[in-house]
Amino acid sequence: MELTMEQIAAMAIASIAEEMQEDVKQLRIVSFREVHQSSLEQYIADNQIQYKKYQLGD
Amino acid sequence: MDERWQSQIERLMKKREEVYAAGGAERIAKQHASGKLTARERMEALFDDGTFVEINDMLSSRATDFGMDKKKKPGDGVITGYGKIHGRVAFASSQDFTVGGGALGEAHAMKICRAMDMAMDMKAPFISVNDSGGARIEEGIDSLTGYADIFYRNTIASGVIPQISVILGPCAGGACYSPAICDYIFMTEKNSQMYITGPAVVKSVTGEVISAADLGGAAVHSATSGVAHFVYPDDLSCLNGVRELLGYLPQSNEDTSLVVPGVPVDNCASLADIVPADSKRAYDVRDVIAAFVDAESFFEVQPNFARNIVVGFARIEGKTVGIVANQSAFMAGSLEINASDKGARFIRFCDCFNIPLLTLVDVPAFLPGSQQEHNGIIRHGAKMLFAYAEATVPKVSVIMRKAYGGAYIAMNSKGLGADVVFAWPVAEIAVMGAAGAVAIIGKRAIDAAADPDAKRKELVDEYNDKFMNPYVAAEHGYVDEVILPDETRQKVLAAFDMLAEKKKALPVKKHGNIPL
Repeated sequence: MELTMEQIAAMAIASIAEEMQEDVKQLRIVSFREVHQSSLEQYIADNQIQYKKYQLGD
Repeated sequence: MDERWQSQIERLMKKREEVYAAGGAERIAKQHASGKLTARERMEALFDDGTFVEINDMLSSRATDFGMDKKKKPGDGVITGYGKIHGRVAFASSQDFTVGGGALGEAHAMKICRAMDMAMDMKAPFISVNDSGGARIEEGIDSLTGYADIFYRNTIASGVIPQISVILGPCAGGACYSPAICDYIFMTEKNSQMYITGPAVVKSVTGEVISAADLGGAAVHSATSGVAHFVYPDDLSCLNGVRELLGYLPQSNEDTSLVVPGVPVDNCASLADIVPADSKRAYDVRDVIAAFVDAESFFEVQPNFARNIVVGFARIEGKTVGIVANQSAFMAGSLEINASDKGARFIRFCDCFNIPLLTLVDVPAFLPGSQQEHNGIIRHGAKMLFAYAEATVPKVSVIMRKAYGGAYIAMNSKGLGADVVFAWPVAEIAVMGAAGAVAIIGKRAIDAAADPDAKRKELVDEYNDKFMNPYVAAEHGYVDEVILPDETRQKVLAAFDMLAEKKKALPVKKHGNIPL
């Protein structure tokens, strides 16, 4: 089942509310921006590259 | 929102689109097909997620000759900006090969210089990603001056902020000198090339036929010329390597390295098994290092060049140290021209950036021979002595086995200013080995003896007993303590702990005059 943008946004807001232990009805969205997959993420996915960005302690 | 707002926003978005389109889909596809990332993708891989901020994205060339004003060059072929690496600010430039082959003109150089100036103002590392066909010929002398402006800044920033060059494509002609002035050069196996003159010019001038890879590829520069410090298979692993290196370094000469808690290791009980007591038998000194630094923390620099000396960063109790070690498994760990250059440069880097130095000594000599003498072993070997003597960071030595002659002096001896010198019980600290010494000082006695072989053996035994141990040096104060191998980590750690607040200043001078 493919989710609509509205459904994805609703699920995200519900997750944030749960994380913040707030009533979801108390949350107000001030701005909303769709974040696309970056060119690098796309390249890595297209080429099926195993990649993990190095982090301190790795 | 009124109409004017709307139109101006649309205008900005259109301009942004043009800049972000870089050289166009076709050229980007070509870049990807050759296994290379685009300039912006490289910045995304280098910096912590979502932290890269581009500066001067619309700065463009003012050149008009040769129809330059009609050619679109988004970003003028280079992307510059800042972001975070391990949560700390860093600055970078990334040449865009899809825009005019990443060729450097006046505006291109100006962008790089502005980012470098900001890095100096903020005392933060600067990383330059090189992927360029060279100078933009249409801009003539302005291109060359652009290079000069960069070289000047590289030089002034040297020793103030870490500077790292990442070669992810061609880097030819004068362009090579910016990486050369930087602290570290990273290359990739297939796509990196560095040379002052390319294969075509070499052929036309000298008649020599040679491929680009054989002339200036990563294998050549990491193993033969010593120009490159690190080689990785591709862009992503290479940029991860830069991130890893920066994890060991401070932001500037006014800072200290991050403490990165790891897994402490103390396998010093195994050191007497790793290192044979017979000083003629070889071992891999990296096994010694791994026995007491934090688990998997040793990050070797130039592993394929001058393999008779091992240098690199490691952590002990999470704190960065620079390690210099003779490699018994290669040329018996002797010092020669390349090892001296490699060691001296690493020592000076550590001293610039407040990284304590640990020296592991097992050195038979400076390599003898006319090849070494004629190529200037005196001049090159002097760099090691100069670098150690000049370094004011905490300096600790462990003499594991052989420490003979001038090479003993060069490897952070007490006389050169070592703060603490330890020696293992099998250490041999002497002017030279027994056979050579007896051949000189016992010659008359051996010649006069009825049984010369027996006399030689007697004298060798006497020399071994008297000099081939650490106790004479300890009695004379050149060794602070003879320690058991098992105690190595504990003693080294305690010494660095004691030296943590060391403050030592050299006499006021413009700069020293290191033999070059």
